[in-house]
Amino acid sequence: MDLTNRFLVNRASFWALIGLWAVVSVFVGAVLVSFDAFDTFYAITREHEDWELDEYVIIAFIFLIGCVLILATVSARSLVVLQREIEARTSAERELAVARHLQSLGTLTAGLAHSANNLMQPILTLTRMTSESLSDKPEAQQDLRYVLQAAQKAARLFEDVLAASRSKQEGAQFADLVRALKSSAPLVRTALPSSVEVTFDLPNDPLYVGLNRTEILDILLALASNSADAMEKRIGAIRFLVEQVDGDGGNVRMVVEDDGSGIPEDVIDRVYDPFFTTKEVGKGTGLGLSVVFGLTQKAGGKMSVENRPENGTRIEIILPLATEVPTAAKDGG
Amino acid sequence: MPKILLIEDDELVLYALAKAMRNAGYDVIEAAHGGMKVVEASLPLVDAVVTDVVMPETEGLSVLMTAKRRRPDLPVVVISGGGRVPGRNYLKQAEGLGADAIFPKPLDERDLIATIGRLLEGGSADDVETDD
Repeated sequence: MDLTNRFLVNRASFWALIGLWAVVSVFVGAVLVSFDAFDTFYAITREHEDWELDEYVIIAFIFLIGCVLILATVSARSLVVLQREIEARTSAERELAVARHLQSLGTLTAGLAHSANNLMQPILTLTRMTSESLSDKPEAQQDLRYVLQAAQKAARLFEDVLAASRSKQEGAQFADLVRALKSSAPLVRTALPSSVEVTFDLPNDPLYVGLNRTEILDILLALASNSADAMEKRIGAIRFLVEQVDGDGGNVRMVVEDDGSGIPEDVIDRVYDPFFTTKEVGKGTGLGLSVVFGLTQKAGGKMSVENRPENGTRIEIILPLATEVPTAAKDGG
Repeated sequence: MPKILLIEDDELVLYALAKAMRNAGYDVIEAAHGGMKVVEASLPLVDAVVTDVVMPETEGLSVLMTAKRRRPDLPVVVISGGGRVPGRNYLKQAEGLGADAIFPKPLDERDLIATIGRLLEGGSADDVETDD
């Protein structure tokens, strides 16, 4: 384990500190040499042997070294506590950002649904009524029937799409990851440009995790759009792989690999920060991976991000399998 | 001709539903604005009420409760486009508060009119139509 990281000092400033101390030591040494310090001191102590100066000096040194050790221990422990506090605060901020994000998404959806329903009303009603009044104009009547068909399809489409995002899922705590990914795949492909190829490598058996369908969809969209955004000219491939690991009662591993431009090394640790983004102003909020991280944590899992040696990014999420899923809580949808 | 009080803030929805009801032979008093004052002034004049729930000036559920209090005999139909805030089921609440029928939008105006017909005849919204 890297001690410097644990103690909140980054490598560069740690070595700078050591270097600075080395320079100071050399300087102090030079001063001592110039005064012939040790020999002078020795002469004084030989002159006054009865003063027990030797012993006092030893005691002083022992005391000094003890002080230094105490100071070091206290500092180290304070730094560890500080580190923990910062982590706790960052994780709370992340949760808040995720919650706000999901809440505003829910509100947006509900508002859209309300407007869509109100807009469909005059379209359907007036078309039906006008069509009925045109029995003397069969062609016009038939045309209006087609209008009605299209309008009814639109109404159903609104209903389906908005239902997918609605918080019908608010109560559900578990879902089958495999099934959720299978049914969300078309939606993800629609959300990305067609020049981005998305493949899913999924097992046949259900794998229940501590997230509901909406949350899984959020994760999927965040991962996919992050990968797509890292692609030059938006051309590339994203691959999702899901498999069970560590035997029964073990974990689910989901790996997302893309062949985009990868994440620069100096920012790779900051991707979990809710508002960190390398995207230009106006091009995305950078909220994506932080949402994924927050949800992964919520489900009791772990997430890691690394760059692939060839090109692109590899994100690995490990989620514990939900073994005790009450049937009522199982998301059937 | 039976008079129906139609309370709906969306102008196009108001126009479409009022037209459908007039076509079916009803007289319609339209209330898009004006709040509870307009509603209370109209209540003594009508034979049935059709009201939306979420409106900027008037709360549809208040209309329902006021109507039931002032004229318990008056059938009240509640329609809704869904809450603007997620997780609210207004139509269920309306049922609990005594609405005689509820319709989510977009509704089929033919069903609405058939239900109004049944309610005006003193039946309930779910009466099976008898042919005679």
